[in-house]
Amino acid sequence: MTLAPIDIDAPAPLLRHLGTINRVGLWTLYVKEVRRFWKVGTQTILAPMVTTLLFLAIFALALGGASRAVGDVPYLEFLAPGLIMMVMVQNAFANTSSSIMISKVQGNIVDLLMPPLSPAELTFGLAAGGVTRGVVVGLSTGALMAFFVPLHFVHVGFVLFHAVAASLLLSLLGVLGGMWSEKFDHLAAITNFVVTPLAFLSGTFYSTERLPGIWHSIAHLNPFFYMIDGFRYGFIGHADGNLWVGILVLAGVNAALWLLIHMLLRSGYRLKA
Amino acid sequence: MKTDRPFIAPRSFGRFNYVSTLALYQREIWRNLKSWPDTLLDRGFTTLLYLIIFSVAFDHIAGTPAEMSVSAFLAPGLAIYAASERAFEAPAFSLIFDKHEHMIDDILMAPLSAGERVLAYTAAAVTTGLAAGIIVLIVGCLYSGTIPGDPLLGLGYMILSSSLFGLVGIGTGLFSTRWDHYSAILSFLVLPLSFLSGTFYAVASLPETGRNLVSLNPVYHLIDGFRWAITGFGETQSPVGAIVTTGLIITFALGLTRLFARGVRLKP
Repeated sequence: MTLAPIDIDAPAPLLRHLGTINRVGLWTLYVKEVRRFWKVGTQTILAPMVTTLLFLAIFALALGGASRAVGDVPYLEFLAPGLIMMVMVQNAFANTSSSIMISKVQGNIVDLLMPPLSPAELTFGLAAGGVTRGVVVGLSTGALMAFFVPLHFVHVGFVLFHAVAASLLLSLLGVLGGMWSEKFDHLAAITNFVVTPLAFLSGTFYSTERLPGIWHSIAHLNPFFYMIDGFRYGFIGHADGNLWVGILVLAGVNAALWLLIHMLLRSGYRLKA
Repeated sequence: MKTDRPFIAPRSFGRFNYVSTLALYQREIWRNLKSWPDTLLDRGFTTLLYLIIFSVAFDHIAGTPAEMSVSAFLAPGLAIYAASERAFEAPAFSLIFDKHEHMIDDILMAPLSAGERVLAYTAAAVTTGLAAGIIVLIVGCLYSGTIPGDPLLGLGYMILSSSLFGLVGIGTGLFSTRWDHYSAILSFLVLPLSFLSGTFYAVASLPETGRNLVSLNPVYHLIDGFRWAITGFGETQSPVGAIVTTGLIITFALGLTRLFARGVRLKP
């Protein structure tokens, strides 16, 4: 067997010139994040659709034949956007948090840290993957729900903004959760004691008008409330809280989380020994 | 020094190897209850959330007596749902994990007969389910102010329900080769079956055909019986459901014993 002759006069291989944004690396990271959930679509897209439909069925059955209205909208039409929002945010959180957590546990977190990606690009890639999952789940669940509950678009802009902003917020929270947790138990604790209560108690299932005094004020401190309120406004044209406050709150929280993650990635908090 | 007697003599056991069965049972219990924050706290807390949202969103659940509060109606249903789901998860997770990590050989090499293995796994499923179910029931009763009317009967129903779902879990664990299969059965079979069998609604609110369909579902009878034992409100008030479930449990147990003996998807 003869080896290929080495041409010692050929120029040395050049380093790839990256520029300000590593477009190839960023795209690769994003595609990896998306393919990660797309490959197990039954668990990541189909199962949430079925579970949300179950939720809808439960509430419809508990109502019985009674026609209940919230404001001037039938209860199920009031409920459906809230359920869609809830499933979007739960899945956006799960995507980023499980990605980082599984990488840490399996030891291939180095594949995330070693490539020439700046902290901003890392954050962007991970968060974009989470937002994509959130939006895909939201679209598919919404399409399925439309068979059972009439869904009208009154202000599409609000629907789109809140869908993306909410998914982004929870994706960033997921990155934080994944970075902080050292065992799967920690992640489960965050999901069960932080994300789920905030999502459930945010006016998804009931109008916050029904809450007495102090609980009403506390409910309005919850960012999830603004997500659902604005999203639902896009469908039914009625909001419990102040819409512009909501937009500001979401933008502000997203910016704050982004900065925090950027700082933590640069310092290698719990990722680099 | 005596050299004619071997140090280690093979242990002889009769028809039932209770030491090994007990060991397998204890290991399963320990493994499942080791994650007690997940098992017990999480479910208690999630149940509390469900009770709160239903109480705020609804004043009254359709088909229930007027003086029954929403949370009093829901608490037993949520408790038996927690027990069933935990009883399903425990053996399924255990078997699939062992198969992936190739620890299943430890189980297969032990001098256990197939029936003893099924017994140990089912007993572990029931115990884990009861642990979760009782905690959730305590939380629910505290929140709604209910005092269980007939706790022993309720316990009986919970054991039946946990056994049924535990056996389904063992079957799932046997047949699943990937976590996808387990997740699919959990999301598309167990969850709908538990949720839509009268946990959140009273059958009286359904139309005629719906009522007939639901009364064919053994899980509905279990939930109804359990709710009757705890709150005194039951719609069927007959032991037919319990009898049918017992029959199902025996059938599943025998079937699974055969499958274990043949080593379906356990031995290459």
